[in-house]
Amino acid sequence: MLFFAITGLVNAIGSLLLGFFVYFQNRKNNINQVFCWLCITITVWSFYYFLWQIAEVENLALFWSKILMIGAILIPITYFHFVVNFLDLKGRHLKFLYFGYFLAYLFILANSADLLVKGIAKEMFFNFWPKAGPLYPYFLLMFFGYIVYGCILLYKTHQETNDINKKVQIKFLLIAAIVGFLGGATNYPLWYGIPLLPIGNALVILFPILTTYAIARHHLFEIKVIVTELLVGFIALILLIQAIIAPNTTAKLSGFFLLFIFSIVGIMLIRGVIKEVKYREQLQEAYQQLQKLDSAKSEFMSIASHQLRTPLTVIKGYISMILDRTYGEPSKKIEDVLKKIFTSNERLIRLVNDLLNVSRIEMGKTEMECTVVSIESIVSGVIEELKFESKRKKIYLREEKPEQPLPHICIDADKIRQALLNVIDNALKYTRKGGVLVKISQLDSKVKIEVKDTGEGLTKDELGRLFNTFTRGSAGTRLFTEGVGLGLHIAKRFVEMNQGKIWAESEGPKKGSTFYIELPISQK
Amino acid sequence: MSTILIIEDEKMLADMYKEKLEMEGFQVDLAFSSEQGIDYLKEKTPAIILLDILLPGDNGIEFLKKIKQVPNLENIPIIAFSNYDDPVTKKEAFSLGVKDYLIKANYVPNKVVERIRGFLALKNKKTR
Repeated sequence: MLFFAITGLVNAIGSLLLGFFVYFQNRKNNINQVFCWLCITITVWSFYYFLWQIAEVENLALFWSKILMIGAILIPITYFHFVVNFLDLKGRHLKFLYFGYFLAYLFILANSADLLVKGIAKEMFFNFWPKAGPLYPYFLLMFFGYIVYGCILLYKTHQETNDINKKVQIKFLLIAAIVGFLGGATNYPLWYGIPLLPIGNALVILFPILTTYAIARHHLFEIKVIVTELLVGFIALILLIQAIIAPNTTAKLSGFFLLFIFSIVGIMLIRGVIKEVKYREQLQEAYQQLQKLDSAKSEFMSIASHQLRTPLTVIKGYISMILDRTYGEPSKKIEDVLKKIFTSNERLIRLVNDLLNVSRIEMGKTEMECTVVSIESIVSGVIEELKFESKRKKIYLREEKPEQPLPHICIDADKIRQALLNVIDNALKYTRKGGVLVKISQLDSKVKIEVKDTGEGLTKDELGRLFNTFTRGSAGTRLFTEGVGLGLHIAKRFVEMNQGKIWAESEGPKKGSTFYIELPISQK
Repeated sequence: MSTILIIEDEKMLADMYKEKLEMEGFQVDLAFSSEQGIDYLKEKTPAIILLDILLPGDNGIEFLKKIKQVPNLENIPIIAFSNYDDPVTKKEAFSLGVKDYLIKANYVPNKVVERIRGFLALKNKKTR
């Protein structure tokens, strides 16, 4: 019995001190004000709990029990009030809060009319334990209703918010509520004669402790430290009580010795956990910095490519309009010059696209957007786009379609288009005589695209490193100045992202080369 | 004659597309910001909107969010038309109802006209 009385006193003193501690930290903040108000209601409940536990006559125990109920009635409403202020809720939540205060007023009236506590009886080893009156079940309904609803609102905000500090704060508040209120709820079974010891009453103090911690600190420690501290503190408290109430000096001495040893081990344990948590905090901070840098880099790439593309779009647009005879018939010489500008401009646009793509691939920021499309139409579109270049070089660019139309397949059309564009453009670039043939066929459950050129060909060594970044065939460095060797690397990554395969074959230098792309036929 | 609203802050690009589209028989109105586009829609209903994404003040995404709240505008096809190629923005634009997201630099004006004709044909088919 003394143990339970002490838990009541500890809860009362602890709540009062913590309530005012938070209040004086920032008296103008309404969260701090309402938390203090909540702590006062817990103090009322706990202090009269203590007085009732140590009461020696029935009437006094009954009287203290009734006063205690005033605190018990107000706790769920002030808790909900705290949640409303903490989450800055308005509208229907405020109405629900006012309704709660009204209900509390009615229950306080009912309490004075013996409708909540109908008497006192002996339960287990308690001489005086209050018995539930006719309205007591409704009080329990209100009690748990407001607390559970408050917790649900906290949980929802925890899931929705992106603010890491707020998330941690709410995590603490939820743990505080679950531990504190469930602990306090172990007092209720005995009201109905259910023989369950209210052992959880000792946990009530955790509610104001954890909540204070959550409110008072901006950079919260991990829950692991708090739990360790609380566990060590809780065991130390039990050992201290045991030592104080030990029946003789020898038992007292051994109790204090045990407490001393435990305290040393406990402090070492807490220090170890704090150290580990600090390391983790530092790591997390570094990780967040990296994420910020990563996001800034990604944003920079998108903006920079936008700025580069805009003038290129104007050049591309106006030249194509001149070449389309929008402004009349240009002279042959001007037309040739414009075609050269157009081709160079296209190369620049592709370079910007390639740089953006490769930077996204390297940063792991490439997202897939699969749709069911016709691969033949993608190939035809790319060939159409590059026809201009083949005409300029006076080489052929032909397409060989399958005899039967191929089924539509599920791919990221933009990426496959880009991959094909890079492969075919590459074939055109390295072909000076003859041309490029693009053949599409079906091979079991795969679509196979062959890009066969009559160009420079490749050595075995080049075949091995052809798809790496910034790699060009020896013919590339010898014959051509354009291109930085990103195109095939991007093509490979995009084909692989679509569960496909890409490779090249060549019989050797001057013997042309064939690039193969295989994509699975899938409609999902 | 179908009216096209181009919301584009780069005057050179806006003029170029206007010129091309007018030659192809469309009537073209220009807005140089998202706000101007909103004001335009209070008075007129174009057949299609070509929307740039990076705009001064409210960007194209904000424009899409705002017009989503206006009834009777849901039938106007909107094509996001920008050189800003950001996957997150693209996804957001599609979730806000754009029919396509075209990267300007990848299209000559002729191809843009083809796309617009395609969307208008689809729209007319639906309304029939």
